[in-house]
Amino acid sequence: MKCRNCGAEVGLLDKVCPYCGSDNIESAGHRTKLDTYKKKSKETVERADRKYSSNKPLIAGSIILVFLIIGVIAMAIAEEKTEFMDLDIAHSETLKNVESFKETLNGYLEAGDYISFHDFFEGHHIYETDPEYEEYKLLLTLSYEYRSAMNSMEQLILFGDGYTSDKRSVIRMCRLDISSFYTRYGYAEDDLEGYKYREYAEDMKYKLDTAMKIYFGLDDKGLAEYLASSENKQALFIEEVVLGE
Amino acid sequence: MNKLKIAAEWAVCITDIILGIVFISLLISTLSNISRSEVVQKDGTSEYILDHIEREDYGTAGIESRKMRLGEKIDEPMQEFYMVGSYADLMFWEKIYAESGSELTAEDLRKQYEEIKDSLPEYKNVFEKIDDTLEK
Repeated sequence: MKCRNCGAEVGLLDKVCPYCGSDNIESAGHRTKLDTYKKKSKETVERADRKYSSNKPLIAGSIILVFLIIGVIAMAIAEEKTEFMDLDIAHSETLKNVESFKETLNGYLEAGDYISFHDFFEGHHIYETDPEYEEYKLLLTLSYEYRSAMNSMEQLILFGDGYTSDKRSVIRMCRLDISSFYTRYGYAEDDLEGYKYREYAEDMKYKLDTAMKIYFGLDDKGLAEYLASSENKQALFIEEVVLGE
Repeated sequence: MNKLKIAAEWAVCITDIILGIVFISLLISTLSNISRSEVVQKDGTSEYILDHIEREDYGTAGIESRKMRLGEKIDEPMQEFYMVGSYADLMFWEKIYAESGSELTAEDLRKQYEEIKDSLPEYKNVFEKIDDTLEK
């Protein structure tokens, strides 16, 4: 804008001309407008502050919410990843120490302790599907059945006279476990041809035959008859031996 | 508008609390997964064995006691229950090994159960009952 007196360039908000000192009348309107704008701006800022303050809990809550959602997702992933970590660690140990694990397993086999063989396999999370341990697969299946049969028989035989609970359910379980071993062994017979650990599988059967002989009084012929009989007759036979009925 | 804002604040607050609980649960679960180590002795196994000995279910006590012979760490005061259970288990198996021709193993098992019998004279009656069940 130009000074009305000297024609020099003056600022929009200058009260007087910086060159001739005459009053700059036109700037008064601009100054008034500026004051109004400043006032309005201040009010707007104050209104915004008030609004912000009143929404503070909601904003803070929302920020926390976002962090929590991220945290929960991250923690869920971490939890899922670590759920079977101990099993994975145990399993990786079985692959790292194949030689020493096999030595222990073979030690149990040589000692004829097939239950410990099975428990060692299970307790150390050895997977029979791993190529390193695949050779024990059949033996492991049989030792599982053998363990169940022997445990059931041990439980049944070692009831003292003071045991008052129902023995019939144990008898039924024992009959089933014994039957399962012989059935599984029967199915495995073809696979046992040329199997590396055949002697141990046969020894398992021999030991169960022996237990049947000692504790149920069954010789080879008696055992064959027992196995050929119906489930009911087998259960009745065991009841007769154990309960004397 | 104000009611809507209050409702939104409450909704956010409740969701925060729920998510906070979920987060802490997951954190605890993750930490427990990480710190979990091989279980050497299940809680209550000794009481379980004692219960079976008292009920004269020596077979189950014997089966449970096997863990001790397989190297499971047992608390000192509870060891005798395991030993009583082991006595039954060893006797059951000694007969099988002896009959199936593994005389050396049978001899070893005999030695073990005799040692248990000698070391726990206060359980004489229980040992006699176990002997009786096998002789029936």
